Amino acid sequence: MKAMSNGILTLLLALVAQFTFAQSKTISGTVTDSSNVPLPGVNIIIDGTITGTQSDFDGNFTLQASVGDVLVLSYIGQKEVRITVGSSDFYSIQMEDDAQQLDEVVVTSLGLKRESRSLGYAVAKVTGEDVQGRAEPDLIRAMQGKMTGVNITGGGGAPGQGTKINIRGMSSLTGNTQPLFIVDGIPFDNSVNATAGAGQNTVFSNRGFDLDPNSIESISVLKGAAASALYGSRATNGVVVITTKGASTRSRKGLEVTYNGSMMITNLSGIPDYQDVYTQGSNQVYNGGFIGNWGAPMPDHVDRINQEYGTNYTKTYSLYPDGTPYPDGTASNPVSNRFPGVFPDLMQEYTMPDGSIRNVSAPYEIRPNDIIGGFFQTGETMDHAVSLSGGSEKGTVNAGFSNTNQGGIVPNQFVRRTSFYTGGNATLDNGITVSGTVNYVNTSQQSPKSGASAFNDYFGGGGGSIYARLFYLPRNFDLMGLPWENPADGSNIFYRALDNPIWISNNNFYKSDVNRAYGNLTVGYDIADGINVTVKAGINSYHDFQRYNSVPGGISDALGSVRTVDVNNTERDFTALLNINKDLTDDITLTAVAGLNANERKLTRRSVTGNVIISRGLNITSGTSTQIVDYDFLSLRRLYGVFADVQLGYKDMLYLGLVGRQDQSSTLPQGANSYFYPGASISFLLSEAVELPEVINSLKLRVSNTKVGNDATPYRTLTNFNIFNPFTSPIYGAVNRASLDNTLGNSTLKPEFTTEFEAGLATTLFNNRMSLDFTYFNRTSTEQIATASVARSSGFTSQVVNVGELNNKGIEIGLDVYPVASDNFTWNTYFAFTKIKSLVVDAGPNGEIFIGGPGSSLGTIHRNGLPYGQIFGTENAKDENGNLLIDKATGLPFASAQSTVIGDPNPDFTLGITNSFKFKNFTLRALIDWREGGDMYSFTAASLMLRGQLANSVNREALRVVPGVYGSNQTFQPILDASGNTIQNTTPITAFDSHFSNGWGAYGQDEVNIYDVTTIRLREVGLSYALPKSILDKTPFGSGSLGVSGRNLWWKAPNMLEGLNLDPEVLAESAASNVQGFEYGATPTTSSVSFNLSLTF
Amino acid sequence: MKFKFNNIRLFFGASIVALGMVSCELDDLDINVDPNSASEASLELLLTNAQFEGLNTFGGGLNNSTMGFQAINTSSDDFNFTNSSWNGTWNYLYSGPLKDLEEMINAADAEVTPRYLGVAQLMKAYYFTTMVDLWGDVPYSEAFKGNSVDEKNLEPVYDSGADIYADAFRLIDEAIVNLGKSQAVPVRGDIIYGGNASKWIKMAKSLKLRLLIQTRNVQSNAGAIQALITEGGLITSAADDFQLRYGALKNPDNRHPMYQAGYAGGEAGYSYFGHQLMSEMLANRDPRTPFYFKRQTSSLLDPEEPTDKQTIPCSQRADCTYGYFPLSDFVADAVYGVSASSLTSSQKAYLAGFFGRDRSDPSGIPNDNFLRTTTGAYPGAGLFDVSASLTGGNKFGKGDGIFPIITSWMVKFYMLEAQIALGVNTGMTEAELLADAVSDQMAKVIAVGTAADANAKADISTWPDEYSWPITYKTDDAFVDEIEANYPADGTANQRLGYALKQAWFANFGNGYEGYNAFRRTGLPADIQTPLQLPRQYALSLPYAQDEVNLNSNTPNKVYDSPGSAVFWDTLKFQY
Repeated sequence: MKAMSNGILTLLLALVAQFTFAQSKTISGTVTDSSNVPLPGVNIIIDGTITGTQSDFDGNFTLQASVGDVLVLSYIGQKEVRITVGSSDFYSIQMEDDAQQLDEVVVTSLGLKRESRSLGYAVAKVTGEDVQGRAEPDLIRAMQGKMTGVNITGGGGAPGQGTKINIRGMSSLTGNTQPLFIVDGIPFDNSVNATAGAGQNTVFSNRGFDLDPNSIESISVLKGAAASALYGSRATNGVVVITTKGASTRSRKGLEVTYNGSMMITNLSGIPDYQDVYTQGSNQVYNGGFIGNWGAPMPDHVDRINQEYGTNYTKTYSLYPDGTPYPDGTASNPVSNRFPGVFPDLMQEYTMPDGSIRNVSAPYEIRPNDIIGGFFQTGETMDHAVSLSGGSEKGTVNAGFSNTNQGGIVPNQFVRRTSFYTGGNATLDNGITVSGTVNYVNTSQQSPKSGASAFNDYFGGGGGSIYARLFYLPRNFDLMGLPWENPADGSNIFYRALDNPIWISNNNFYKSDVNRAYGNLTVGYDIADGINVTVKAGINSYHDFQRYNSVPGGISDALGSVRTVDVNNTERDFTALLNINKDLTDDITLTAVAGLNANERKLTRRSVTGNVIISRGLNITSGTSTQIVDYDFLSLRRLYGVFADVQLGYKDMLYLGLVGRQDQSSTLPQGANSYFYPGASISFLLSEAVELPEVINSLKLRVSNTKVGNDATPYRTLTNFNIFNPFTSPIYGAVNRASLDNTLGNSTLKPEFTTEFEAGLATTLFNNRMSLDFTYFNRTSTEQIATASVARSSGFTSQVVNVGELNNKGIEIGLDVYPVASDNFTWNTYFAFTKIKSLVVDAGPNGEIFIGGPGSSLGTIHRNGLPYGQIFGTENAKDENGNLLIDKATGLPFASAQSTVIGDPNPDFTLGITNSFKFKNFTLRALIDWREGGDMYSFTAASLMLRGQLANSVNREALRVVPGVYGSNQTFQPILDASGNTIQNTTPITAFDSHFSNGWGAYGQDEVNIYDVTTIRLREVGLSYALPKSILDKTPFGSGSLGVSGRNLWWKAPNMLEGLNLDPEVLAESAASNVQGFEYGATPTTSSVSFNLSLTF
Repeated sequence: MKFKFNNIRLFFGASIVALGMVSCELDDLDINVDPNSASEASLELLLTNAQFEGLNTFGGGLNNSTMGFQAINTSSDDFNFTNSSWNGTWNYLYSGPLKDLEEMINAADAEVTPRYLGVAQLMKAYYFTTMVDLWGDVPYSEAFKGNSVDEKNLEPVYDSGADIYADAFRLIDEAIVNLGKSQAVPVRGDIIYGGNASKWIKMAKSLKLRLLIQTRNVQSNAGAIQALITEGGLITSAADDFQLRYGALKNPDNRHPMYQAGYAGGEAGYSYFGHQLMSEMLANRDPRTPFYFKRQTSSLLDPEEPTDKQTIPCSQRADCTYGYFPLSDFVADAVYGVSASSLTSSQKAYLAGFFGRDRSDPSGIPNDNFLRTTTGAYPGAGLFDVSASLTGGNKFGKGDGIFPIITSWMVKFYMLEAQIALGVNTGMTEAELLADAVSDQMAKVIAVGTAADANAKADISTWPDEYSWPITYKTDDAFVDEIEANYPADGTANQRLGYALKQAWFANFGNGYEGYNAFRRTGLPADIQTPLQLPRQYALSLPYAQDEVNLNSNTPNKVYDSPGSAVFWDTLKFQY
C-alpha cells in the first residue's frame, strides 16, 4: 500500500504540467502573527482575481502583482488583512488574532473543515493531547468525561475489554446504539464480534481498541443529526470523526521525530470490606465444603462472642476418625480431604484408640485469608510510540510506529497492540492534491476464562470462570497457600467440585488475535477558484481469530475442548465530493458540498468446536476427538447515497445551512429501499449584529432541525428455515433437521428515521476568560426497525417491525473558565454537563419489548411511558401500603405473582469537571466525573450478602424479624385479624435465613439487588513537566516533557451496598448489547498510574 | 474560470484508480438473500426437529419437575413457582418444535404425503394434550399464526383444555386414516419409529386410550375404551414403545437430561432422589434399584464432626421420616429389620450411598454433589451401581438412554385402571394385567440398563456372585410374582387402584407426567410422604409464562395452586 501511494504520487508529480500567470512585478514579504511568529499557509490573493499564493513555512511569500492591487490575506484564527501594493517590493505584515474563539475550525462531516461560527449545531472536539499519556490504552475510554452529550462506559478492567459509547442517549430500541467511527474519512468498524453470550467465559473487546491514542491527531464528535446527516444511514447514533497523525496536514518543515513512552501499573479498583469473624458453613456451624460464610466464629472471636452473647462456641472445627477433636483452631485440610493420596505433606498418621494407624488430613489453620488481594496482581503496561513527520511546501509525510503491551490484574491476562502507519499529502503545482494513509495494527488479547458469576454460579451455571466464586470464596479458605494443581497430571485441585481460579488462570484462556489493515487514497483538484473536486476511496479490513480452550482435568469441562472463531470484516467506501466556496456578493458567501457515497460491508464468521483434547497442551481443533462446525455465516450489505450540503453566509454573522441525503440500501425490500432525509440549520452571531454589553465578547445562537434515516441489518425481510446440527441417534445415525426461524421477517420493512431539533448558544465572556456552550436537543426516532418480542404462542419469539417512537431530549452545558491566567500561572476549569431524558413513547403493538438479560424474565425491557431500557425482574409481594407481605410459617417475604419494572438504569445527569493548572513548566490536571442516579442490579452485591461475606453482616447471633405484615402467597393480600387489621410479622428468623433463604441476596427477589449507582470519581489526575529550554539546549531534543498520570484512583458510590466497594461502572453485556443496568459479577474495574515521557527531536 | 483539461483528465484517471480500490459492484443492491438459511425445508427435516426438540423439552426440566411433584426427586418439590418459572420452557415449545410441527402439518398433503401428515398429527395430539395436562387452557386454535398471510395473529386466544382434548381425538382419528394410506416415498427423519406406519397406528390407539383414561372423570369413556381394547392394535410389546432414544454425542449434546445432570457437569449434580422411593425399593428388594440409582459414596458421615454434621441429610430438621439412611432407625428397620445401631458396617456403607432427601426438605444445599445418589443405567444410560463411585465430568457412561412416553406397561396400566374403575373387560385378571405391566417395565429396565453399562448383568440370580452388596435383590420373575400374589383382589376399587398406581409410581421412573396426571386424576398412590414444607399448595397446574402474560392480552389470570386452576379433567382438585 505504501509503495502504491508513493508510486502514484511520483507519477502524478512527473506528469504535472506547469502553469504560470501573467505578471507585472514581483513582490515579496513575510507574515507573522501578533507575537511575531511566522505564519505558514496564509492565503494571499489579489482582490478580485484568482491570482494568489500561500506563505511558506517561514511566513515568506512572493507574488506577481501590480501597483494598486489589493492583497487580501486570510488565515483561520486571524483577522483578515488587506494591503494595497505600492511602490515597495517587500511587505512585512502582522496579522491580528481574531478574538472570537467561535472562529476555531472544526472538522465536520466528511472531514470538511468549517469555522465554528458558521455551524448551526454543536460539535465536540478532543485533541490528541487530551487522550495521550492518560494511563489509558483504550482510546474511547480516554475520551471519558471530556465532552458533553457523550456517555462512555468501560466494560471492565481486563486489558482490551470493550467500551460502550453513547451519544445523546440511545436512539435504537433493539438495534445498534454505537456511533459510527470514521477514521481518516473511511468508516472504521467498531464491532464487538461477540460470538458467545455474556454467560460465556470471555472478555470481549470492541474493535475501536485497534486505535492507539498515540496515533490520534484530533477527534470531532458529531453529536446531533444536523452534524452527522451527511454520513447518512449510519449516523443515527452520532459520529466520531478521527483524524490520525498519518493523515495530518499540519505543515512542518524538515523532519520532526516524536517519542512518547509510558509505563503504567494497574490495580484492582476496590476490594469489599470482608468480614473476618465467621468461618464457612451454615447456621453457625463450620463446614469445610461450603462457600457461604455462615459457619462458626473464627478461633480469635470464639471467646468474645461467647462472652457477649452467652453462646457456647468452641475452637473445634473437625474431629479425627475416633471422635477426638483436631487441635484448637484447626480443621482437617479441605484439599487433602478431597485428594487424600495426592499431597502427602497435607496428611498425617493418626493412631486410633485400638492402636491402628490411619492416614488422615493434617490440621489446617482456621484463620481469615486475603483471597482477593492474593489472587489479583499488579498489571504492568509498557507503551512506546514514535512518530515522524516531515514536509516541505509541497506536502508532508507522516509515519509512525507504536506498541502497547498491557498486562492485566489477573495472571496471564494481557493485550498487545502494535501498529504502523504511513501517510502523506502533497499539493502539486497544478493544484491537484493527493493524500493517503496506510495503517496496520495487530491486537492480541488473552484472558483466563472470566465469565460472570451470575452464569457460573446461579442459573445452573457450569462454572469454568475465575470469577465463578472468587469474590466470595470462604474467608478461611487459603486460596494462595493450598495446592491448585495435581502434580501427577496437572488436573484441577480445589476444595470442592469447582475449578480453582488459579488453575483456570494458568490453563484455560480466551484469546483473540486481530490483524487489521486500513487505508485510503484521496485525490483532489481545484477545478476553478473556489471549486474543488475530491475523490476518496478506502478499505478497512480485519481478521479476528478467536480461540477458547479448556485443558483436560478441570471440573466444568473435564475432557477439555477448544473452539476457534474466525471473523472477517471488510468495508469498502468511496466518496466523491464537489466543494464550492464562493462569495456570491460582498455580503453573501456560499459554501456547498455535493457528493456521492458508496459503501459495502462484508462480514464472515465461522466457528468450529473440538471436544475432548487428545494430548494435553495441544489446544487445536484437529487435536480433539470430535469436531463440529457451530456456524458458518456470511453477511453482505451495500448502500449508496447522494447528498448535498449548502451553507449561505451573510456578513459573517448569519448562516443558513441546508442538508439532504438520499440513500439506497440493499437491506431494505427491493423497490422500496430508497429514502431521503433533509435538514436545515441557522447560526446567528448576535454579537456581530448588535452591540452587546462589554462583558460579552461574542454570542452565537444556533438552531437546527434535521432528519436522519437508517436502514436495517441484512436479511430481515424474510422468514427462513435454519439448519441445525444433526441429531445423532444410536438407531438412525445422524438425522438432519431444520426449523423455521423464530424471528418473523418483514417484507415491507421501511427505513427508520430520527428527527432532531437542536438549539444552542455559544458565548465568550469576560475578555474571553469564560466560554459557555449550551445545547438543548430533542430527538425522536420513529419507525424503528426493531426486533420486538411477540407472545410465543404465535409461533415466534419476535418480529422485525417498524415500530413506535423513542424520544431523547436533553441539555448539554460546556463551561470553560480561566479563573486565573497570568504569564506564569494559568488555571482552567472545564465543566461538561449532560442531562438526557429518554422516553419510550411507543414500543410497538404490545407496548413493550423485552430485550433479555441474565434470565428468561430478568433483564431489560422497553415499556411505553417509561424511560429507555428499564430493569425488569421479580419483586417481593407487598400490600397496598408498601409493607412487605411475610409468610407466617417461614418469617420470610415471598415473590409477587408477576415480574415488574424494578429499576431505571438511566442516569439523571453526568458532570465532568476538568481542572488544569499551569505553573511555569508544570501542568497539573484532574478530571472529576459525577454520575447522578441510575439503578443497577448487582450480582456481586447479591452474592456477597447471600454468602455472608461482608463486614456489615457480622452481627448475626441474634434472631431477627423482617419488617412486614403477614400475607397470603395465594391471594397476595395481607392476612387480617378479627377486626380487619393487618398483622405485624413477629416470626423470628436467623441472620442466615434472612440472607440465604428467600431473603436479601441472589436467592431472594430481584428487586432486593437493585442499587442506585450515583458515583463521584476522580477519573484522571496528572502532573506533567515540560523540560525547559535550558536543559534541552544541551540535548538533541527540541522539546520534552515528563509526566505522571493516574486514572480511576478514587471513586465513591454512596448508595451502593455498604462495604461492597464495587465500582459500578462496568458493563454486564458486551458494548453492542442493549441490555443495561446489570452487573453480573465479572471483571471488576481497575485503577492505574502511569509515568510518561515525551521527546521531540 | 479557466479549466485545465489535462489536469481534469489526470484527476479522473486518479479517481478511477481510487475507485478500483473499492470494487466495481457497489451499485448492485439486490444482494439481500440470506445465504445462511434456507427458504424451504423438507418435511423430514421439520419432523426430526419437531420430534427431537419437543420430546427433549418434555423429557427435560418439565419431566424432572413433574417427577418432583410425586416425590421421585426433589425438583420443584415445594411447588413454589412464579410466572418466570416456566417462561423459557413455554417460550421454547411454542416458538420451536410446536411451530415446526404446525409448519409440517400445513405443508403436508393428505394425498401426496399422508403419512408425514399422520405422524405430525399424532405428535401434535400428544404435545398439546400434555400442554393441557400441565397448563390447562392454552393457545391452540389461533396459535402459530404469526406468519400467516391471511390470519396473522400475534395474540392467540386460549382454548379450553376440553376443546383441545376433543380436537386431539379428531387428530388421532384422521392420523389413523392418513397413516393407512400409501405414500410414494417413505417417511424419513422419524427418530421414533423410523417411519413405520403400523407402529404409528398403534401409538395412535394407545394415545387415544391414554386420553380416554385421562378424561374418564368428566365424560363416560367406558364404551370407547372397551371398543379400543376389543379392536386391539395397542402398544403391548416393547418393540412398539413410543419413546425417545437419546444420542450419545457430547457435542452437540444429545444425551439424556438425567444423564447430563448426573454425569456431564462438575458441580451440577443430579437433584436429590426421594428418600421414600429409595427406601421402599431397598425394602422391597426391588431388582430395579441398582439400575435406577447410582451410589457415589460408601463413606459414613459423622454427625459430631462439624463439616459432616452440616452435610448429613435432615441434620437440621426433626420431622424427617427417612433421614440419613445409615443412621435412620426407620430405614434400617424397613430394609434390614434392625435398628440403625445394629447395622453391620457394610450395610451402613451401602446405605450411605442412598443419599437423597425427604420430600420437600427445605434445608440449604451443602457441598454434597459427590455424595448424592445419582441417576443410574436406567433410564439415562449412566452407570449400573456395581459399587459406589463418583460420576461427573463426562467420563462415565454414555447417556443414550430413553424417555418412555407411551409404553406397553403404561398401556397396561391404563387398561388396568379402566378395568378397575370403569369395569372394562380386558380379558385378563387385574393381577395378571398388573404383573404383565410390571414385567414389561422390568424387562425394559434390564434391556436399557445392560445396554448402557456392560457391567450390568441381566441375570439377576447371578448378582450375589457378581457384586459385593450387603443385600440380595429378588429376581425379576420372583419380584413380579410377588406383586401379582399380593394384589388385593378382594379389596375395594380404590384399594386395588391404589395398589396398581403405587406400582406405576415405581415403574414410571423417568416419566413424571404419568404419575402427576394419575395423582390429580385419582389421588393415588395415597401413601406418598407429606412434604416437610408447603410454601404453596399442590401444583394443580403450572403458572403461565411471564412473556405470555406480558405479550398476549388473552392470557387468563390464574393462581396455579388454587382449585380454580385445576385442569378440566381434574375433578379431585387435590389440596393438602
